[in-house]
Amino acid sequence: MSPGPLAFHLFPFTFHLIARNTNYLTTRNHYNILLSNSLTTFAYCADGWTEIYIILRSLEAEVNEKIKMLDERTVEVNLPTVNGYERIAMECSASFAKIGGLVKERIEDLKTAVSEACLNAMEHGNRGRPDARVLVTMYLGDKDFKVSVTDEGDGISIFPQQIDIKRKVARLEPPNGLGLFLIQQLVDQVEFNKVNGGGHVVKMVLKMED
Amino acid sequence: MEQINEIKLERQNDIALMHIQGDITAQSEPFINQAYQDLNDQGDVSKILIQFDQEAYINSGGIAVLIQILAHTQKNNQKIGISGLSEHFKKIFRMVGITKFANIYDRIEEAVAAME
Repeated sequence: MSPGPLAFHLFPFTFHLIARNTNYLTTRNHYNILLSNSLTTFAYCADGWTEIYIILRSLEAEVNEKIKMLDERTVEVNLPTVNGYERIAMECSASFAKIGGLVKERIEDLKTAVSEACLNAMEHGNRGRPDARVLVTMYLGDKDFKVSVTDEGDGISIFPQQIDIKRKVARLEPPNGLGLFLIQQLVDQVEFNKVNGGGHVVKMVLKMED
Repeated sequence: MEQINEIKLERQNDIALMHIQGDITAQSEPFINQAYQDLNDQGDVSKILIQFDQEAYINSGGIAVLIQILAHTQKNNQKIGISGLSEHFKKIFRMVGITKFANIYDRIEEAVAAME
């Protein structure tokens, strides 16, 4: 039996009640995303109250899949192209690297490198498209910590060697464009590659000290 | 996600102090530009000390905003000091070359004493 127009109209209210009472309402953005997804799904459901609960559970799983452990040494973070969300990958990589014994100073280097790689992926690779994703994969090796940041773009053609701060302050060139330089300075190895099937990946390696 | 930087302006002798709270990113541009403008509107600003939060996250977008400020201060013959950075970001600023245009100090007191 498909829901009638009255049940559909009541759904946002009931969703809000259930979400609030079961702690699914985390941030306003989270709520709005869940709400829009749920409305579409609910329109095709047969039974009202039971289906609402199932929808919420499945959406929670979908959201949770965005950060997951692929195995004991690999963590994957799937970010939206939204400025600020690079902080999630930063903190995640820092926590993981700390478990592996990376020293404090190198963890700070790692965080900045991951941040810059994610920002480049969002702004240049994905061109700010809200539907595009940035995939950050972290691998804890015995002697090193590896992070790859993948976007949906075509990659870069010019690899910065040095930056000229004097030209930037003199306004002879734009003040931005520091991200790749910082990555190269802060990690032990970096590669820029195209991905088979589309996309671009930055692979960074930090070596653990003995 | 909206980011807001609260910036406090004050004077210590002939040094204008700009205390920038929060993270420094490209979204900081309007706040920092406005604060710099407000400082100059007060008149007679030849020395500026920029104070950051010790825990601030600073990315390349934020550094680009600071470079734009340095472009103004160079043009206006203003002396710039920077304090409050963590050891990591002192290293970043040296790496980028900001130290060619601004001295970095560990503490405000040290900065004020050096800049007077």
